[in-house]
Amino acid sequence: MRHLVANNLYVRLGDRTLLNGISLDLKSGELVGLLGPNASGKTTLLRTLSNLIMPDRGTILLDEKSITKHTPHERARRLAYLEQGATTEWPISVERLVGLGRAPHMGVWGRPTAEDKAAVIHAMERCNVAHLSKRAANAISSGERARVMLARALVTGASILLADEPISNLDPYHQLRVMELIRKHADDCGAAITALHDLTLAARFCDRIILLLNGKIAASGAPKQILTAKNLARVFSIDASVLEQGGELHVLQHTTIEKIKARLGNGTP
Amino acid sequence: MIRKTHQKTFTLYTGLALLVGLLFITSMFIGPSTLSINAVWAALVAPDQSPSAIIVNQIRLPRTILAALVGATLGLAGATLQGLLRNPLAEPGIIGASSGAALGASLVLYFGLAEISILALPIAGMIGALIAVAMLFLLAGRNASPLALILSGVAISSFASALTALAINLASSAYAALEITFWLMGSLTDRSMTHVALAAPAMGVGWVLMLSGARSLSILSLGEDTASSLGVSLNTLRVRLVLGIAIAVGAAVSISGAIGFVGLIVPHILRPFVGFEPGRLLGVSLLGGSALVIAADIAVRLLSTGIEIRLGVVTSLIGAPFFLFLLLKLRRGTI
Repeated sequence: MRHLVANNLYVRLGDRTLLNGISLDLKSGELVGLLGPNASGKTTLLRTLSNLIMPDRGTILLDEKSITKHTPHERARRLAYLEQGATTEWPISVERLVGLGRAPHMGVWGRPTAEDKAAVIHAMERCNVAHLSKRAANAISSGERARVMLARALVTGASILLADEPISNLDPYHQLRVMELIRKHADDCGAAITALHDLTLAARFCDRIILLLNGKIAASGAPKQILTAKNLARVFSIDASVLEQGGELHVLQHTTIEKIKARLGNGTP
Repeated sequence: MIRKTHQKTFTLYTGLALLVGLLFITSMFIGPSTLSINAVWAALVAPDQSPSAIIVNQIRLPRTILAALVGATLGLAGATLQGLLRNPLAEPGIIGASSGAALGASLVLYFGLAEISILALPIAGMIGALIAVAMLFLLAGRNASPLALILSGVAISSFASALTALAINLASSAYAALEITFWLMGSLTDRSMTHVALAAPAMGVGWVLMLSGARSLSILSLGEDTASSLGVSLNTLRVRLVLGIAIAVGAAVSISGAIGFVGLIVPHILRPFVGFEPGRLLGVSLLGGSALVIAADIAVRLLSTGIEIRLGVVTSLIGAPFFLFLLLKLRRGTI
């Protein structure tokens, strides 16, 4: 089943084109890695897919219905957005913060039901933050916060998760932990698109890679087809080698293209 | 675990309600003439034309009811604004609603319209607050950031205050100038049940508008993008809350004059008791504001010998240093 289908999205801001004709789809069980240099449009794309930005042109179908035709709560129950570096201004307890993710299931004056409470406990356990439940959410480490915010997104019960750089600023252990959680979400009949900068982790965890450059899809497909030295040079301007070992891809980032050009420039007589 | 929080919330509400009740009853006994418990009780249950009944029913009761209502409005509006702007320094004064209401009321006093109808003052207050808020939306735009909203509020506030000062400056008689000046200081002296009947419905409407945004305000603490993604319609929320603030604060200020800093102090004190959750702060701030203003109005009557110290002067004397204290705390990052 195709959960999310975007068709020919254009987003302009002033005279800059942030998204330039992007089409993609997301199937059930799929984890898609969104890669690209800074300012390539990753965040804009995820925010547009989450209905936070209205595209100037193009359509988005969420569960076979235009995303704008869903009521806000209906949409929030199907699609969760995990903001980059998500945080909170007030020292709310972790348990309460995660509980806010149940909002799409409650009315204006409604109280949390037993189901809501169970969902909160389940999401906290899944993300390994249950032991933090009484702590203030703005006074925990960034690794802990990343998992708390992921629990907040998962507790919505939405099948689609759009995560914007959920593992930036995390140590290697927590990077793996968060990627494992997102992978598991996709495997449990969900689906996810996540923006990433770690090429090797993207190759390991994602079913599909989309390379973005200047608001356009530069390449899209299975990690092995997409993460090639040629594509990485074109999209990221880096010289990299891609090794395959034990069925897994390893991307070694050597140097920038500028350095190579400079070296070549010096070498020629 | 969650049951325990419910119990705590219940205890907090009960405690605050008892405090309001206790202060309310105390307030009935404070005044130049000393009345016995029996006299107050008799006046309330079986009002007659005796001096004590007139004092209780026509002076102390409306005064205390208004203190409770105005305080509740200011406390609730402060908590709402702080949640909406995600800024612990926000206050009804800051978005210009109070100064707008004050300007509206001052113009009524300036043109001597207050003598024509008792309705003139509250209506002008609400219109002033609404115009200030409408200007706020025009200036800051519909998708205003907290900073844009605060800056626009400061601009409107200053402009309204300047026009109020102009009214005092140009006032034809010294009496009108004095009337405006005193009114601006904020007071609940010599208010009648008619004032209560005028202001209460408007405040009630404003309260419902604000309280209906409680859950959304809590979600907003996750940031605007995340709140939107959780189904909160930010524009609708902003319009609903700011309208609620304008209506309630406009009505309150037009009755009592400017009573500053209540909206700043009350939410700040109560915030830790509700786990810092903006939505859960609303109801308790309503009760807390009520308690604070009744208490301040009692203090005013106890402290005054001869010339009455104005209620707004007292709250500002407590509030301004408190504001500085908050600012220092915020700079040290301990809020």
